[in-house]
Amino acid sequence: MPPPATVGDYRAGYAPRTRAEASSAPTQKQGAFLKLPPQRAVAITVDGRPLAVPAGTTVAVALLNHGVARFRTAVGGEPRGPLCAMGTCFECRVTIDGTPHRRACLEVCAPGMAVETGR
Amino acid sequence: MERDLAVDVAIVGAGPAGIAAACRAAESGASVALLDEGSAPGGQTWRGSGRDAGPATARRWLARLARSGARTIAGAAIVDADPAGALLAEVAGRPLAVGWRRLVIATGARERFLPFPGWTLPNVLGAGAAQALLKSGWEVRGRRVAVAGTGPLLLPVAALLARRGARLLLVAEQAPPEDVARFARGLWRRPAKLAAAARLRAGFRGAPYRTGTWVTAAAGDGRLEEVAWSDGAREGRLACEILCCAYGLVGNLELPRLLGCPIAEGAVDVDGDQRTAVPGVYCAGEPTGIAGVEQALVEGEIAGLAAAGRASGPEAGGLHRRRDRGRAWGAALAAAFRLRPEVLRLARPETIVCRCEDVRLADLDPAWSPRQARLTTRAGMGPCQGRVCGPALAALFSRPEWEEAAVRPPLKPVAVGSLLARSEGAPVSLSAPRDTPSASP
Repeated sequence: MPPPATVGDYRAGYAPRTRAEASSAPTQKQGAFLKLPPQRAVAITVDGRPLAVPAGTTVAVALLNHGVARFRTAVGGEPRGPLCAMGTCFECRVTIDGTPHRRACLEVCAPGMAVETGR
Repeated sequence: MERDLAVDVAIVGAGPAGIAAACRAAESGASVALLDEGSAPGGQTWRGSGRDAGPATARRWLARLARSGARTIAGAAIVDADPAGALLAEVAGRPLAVGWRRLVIATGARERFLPFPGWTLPNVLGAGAAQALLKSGWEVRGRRVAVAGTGPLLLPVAALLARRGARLLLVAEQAPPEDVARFARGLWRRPAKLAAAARLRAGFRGAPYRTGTWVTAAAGDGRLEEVAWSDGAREGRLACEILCCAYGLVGNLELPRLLGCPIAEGAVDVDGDQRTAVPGVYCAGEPTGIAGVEQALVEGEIAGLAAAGRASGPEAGGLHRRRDRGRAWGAALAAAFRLRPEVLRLARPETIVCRCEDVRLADLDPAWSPRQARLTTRAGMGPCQGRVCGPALAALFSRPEWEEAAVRPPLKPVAVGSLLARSEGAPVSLSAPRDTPSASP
């Protein structure tokens, strides 16, 4: 897998909606990571909404910091989220770029990545 | 199996044991491939460590690994293995066949989870899981957090949570105070560990550390909102957003089982040079018995030297002495932090025990074999392949065979394409499933 490319300046807390927007996106509302030192950002979408996260962030950490509790929906309908965070339990499965059953704890956010939760 | 890569020594797992084995083998002149499912070497315990991050020991070993000449293959999930000298991995959705003359299994351990009412709620997670997520940037500042379970892992997790600004409400150690005190008294012989424990405890000075106390239930609407605790005499409830559970570790034994390595009491049998009974196959670290990072490093070094044909080198004597000392530490841990019967009786009939297939405790007959349970209820047949419910039910039912569910390839769910040959269109040969371990050397 190629190393995740990074876009933008995350001090600005911006979240470009598409890859094309990445180079020209204006500053949007301030993100959740402003207290950390300057670092490169990666723009993804979570259930269609834009989110900027520090480069290297796993999808699981991005979702937890974004307040997502229901990563997937269990057979019986219950919400489920990360349990083991090391790829063993498969509870943090999400759909990434249309591919279902990706383990959020093992996937690193990549520019333009579309994450869907709750399936 | 056609090979993409052929090496003298293949090592599965790039945690401390695998890294130490890779360094020793490569420094001895062997060609080495170190495969790991993670995105960088370090394993669970050294996750996120690098040149400028992580504990000094991790930085030193990672630097040594980079110099050693060993080839590290990240993102590699092992799909199948053949004791005749082949591994099939999936890397970035593509198959990779690795031929080896010696194989070192250093697959580490995972957390044991115990079912209790509410344990499936989001934000109830493993203590090791919390540690990994925190090291990867999980923000918990101001969140109300409880840590519960048993063993030394509670301390670093609590200290890390406190350092990250979480409101630590309770650190509950289920072991009785007298067992914890006896264990602590024994630490004078290991001053480094004693100092580390004291430093970690100081790291969450403001929070209560209660021995003989355990979490009995979790509750919430769509996510954790409350935990209930007990110390046998008193009970209480806490409004709480995150619960980190630590009920010990279990070795990742799927690969040694697949290869037919004899296993007793949850540990792979190895000789003084970390050799298993399967020719050419070595095992190091937690799969040979839970004993921590230092032990994993020593066993990895021994296995790496032996796999490279240097078992009787000048380094070996000192390493063997340190290894035997480490074994004693592992035994002391297991004795002090054994699970009390109360925590094994928390699950109610309606409590889900198999989280993949939503099988409830009442759906299972404790007298069934794991196979009967699978066929009747689908327990253990979901994507985790029994890795969570197996050890849990083994503890609940006192039936170790639940941890020994028949292992067969693929070891992890993989794309069907990874099971097929790349350009020729011919299938990569897969070894037959082995339900019974072979003890022949």
